[in-house]
Amino acid sequence: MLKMFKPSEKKTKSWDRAPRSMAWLASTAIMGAGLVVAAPAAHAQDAMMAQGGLLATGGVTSINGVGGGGINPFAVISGYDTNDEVGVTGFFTHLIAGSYTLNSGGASVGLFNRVEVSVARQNFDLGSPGASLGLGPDFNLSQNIISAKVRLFGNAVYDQGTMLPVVAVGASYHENVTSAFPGTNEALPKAVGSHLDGTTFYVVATKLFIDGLFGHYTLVSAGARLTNSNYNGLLGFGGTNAAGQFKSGYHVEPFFDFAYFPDRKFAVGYEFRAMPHFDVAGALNLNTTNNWQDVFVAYFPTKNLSITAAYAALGTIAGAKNSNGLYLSFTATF
Amino acid sequence: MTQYRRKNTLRSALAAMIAASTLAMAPIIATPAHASSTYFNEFGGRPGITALINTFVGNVTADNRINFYFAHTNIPALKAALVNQVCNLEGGGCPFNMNMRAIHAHMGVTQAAFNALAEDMIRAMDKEHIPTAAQNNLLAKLAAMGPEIVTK
Repeated sequence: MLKMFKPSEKKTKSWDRAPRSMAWLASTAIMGAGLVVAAPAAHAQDAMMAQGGLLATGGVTSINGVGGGGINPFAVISGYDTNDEVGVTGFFTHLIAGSYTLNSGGASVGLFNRVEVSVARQNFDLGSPGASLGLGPDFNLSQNIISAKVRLFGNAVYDQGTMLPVVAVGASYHENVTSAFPGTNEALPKAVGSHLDGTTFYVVATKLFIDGLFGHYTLVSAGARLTNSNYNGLLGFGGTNAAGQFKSGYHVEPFFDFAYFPDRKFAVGYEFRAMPHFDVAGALNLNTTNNWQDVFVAYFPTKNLSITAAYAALGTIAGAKNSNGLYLSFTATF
Repeated sequence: MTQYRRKNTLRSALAAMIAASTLAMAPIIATPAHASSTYFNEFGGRPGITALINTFVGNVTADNRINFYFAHTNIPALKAALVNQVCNLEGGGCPFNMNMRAIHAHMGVTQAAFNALAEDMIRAMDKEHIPTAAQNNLLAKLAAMGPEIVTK
């Protein structure tokens, strides 16, 4: 199976593959950025203070459906709920980058500003580049993600004039539902030596300074994942090295977010997500996975809508270097 | 392989350093909220704060989410106290020593109600054209009072 990838891989020059990387980026960035930003912002000030939810409104959702930035979770609980309320949020992201298309959607429920449960579905259409790999037209990498997060302590709005952050722990279970490699009955991630399903755990601390840099909202968030996901689980979990040994080893990977609000309707920021590396045999070269980063600008015209532009750098993806790209994202919150 | 790993390790370390340095900056960022304020003039001094409080209390009494809390409140006295409080918080030197916890102990204020009040204040500050940084300075100070005011 692995070898089936190699011939086409070799024929494809790295610059030919760039769009693919960009697509990944996009998915990351977009969701990240759009939602990321959405998270801190939704209606920036009004929403932040008014709705009870901290930073945002219901609109803060990561690519995995978890309340947070674009590619990373925040410690805050999604939705409008306060300590005596239940909040519901939904998100949908559509991305077209070159030949690729990403659709991601999901919903989350925030319970009493304490627990957040969320579901998300990601479909990543490899388009014609996928076809060139022998995957046929419109081959999708797909996964369902179920997540839970518990806020341990801290209140993002009330804890001002103190360094006390909001701290939360969470877990996401990924069920990869990518189709079988054409002509076989083995799902693509399995064909490259990964496990289909996996669970990522994380701890995260998020601090909002209402009166932050230059007197403007400033958000800093940092945490660490315990994970063995490949490209966020789109290509499964763990890997098999050239010697045929499966390596399921979990890695501790840090992540970091920064957002600044020059205006209540705009946010700019940066995200970083360290990624695990596996010695996976075959053309997909998972061992070259790089850390993900993005910079974003988000606009929040109304309480329920955000428009985000992000420039994301996903590093080397499947052998294609410098996977950078610019993406737009629209996020609606209800 | 090793090369990639090393890069990754370096990047992780870099990320951790960025995170650490940012967190280290936090005290600097946080300081303005409780330092003596220079925003008093940006609020328009005492006349500006009086106009702000008039607008704010107008918003609150028209806000069906929370106006019932003030059904039996002496509104002129409330306004006078709020003017002194904001003036005091923003470095205007006005006397204010009311105990927030004691005043609100029996009101049963919810988080949602507190947040609604904050929203009314934001709308009032917008209407009075208070600069954003000055707004956020006051909001941060009011938000910090949340645990003293919210009892439910």
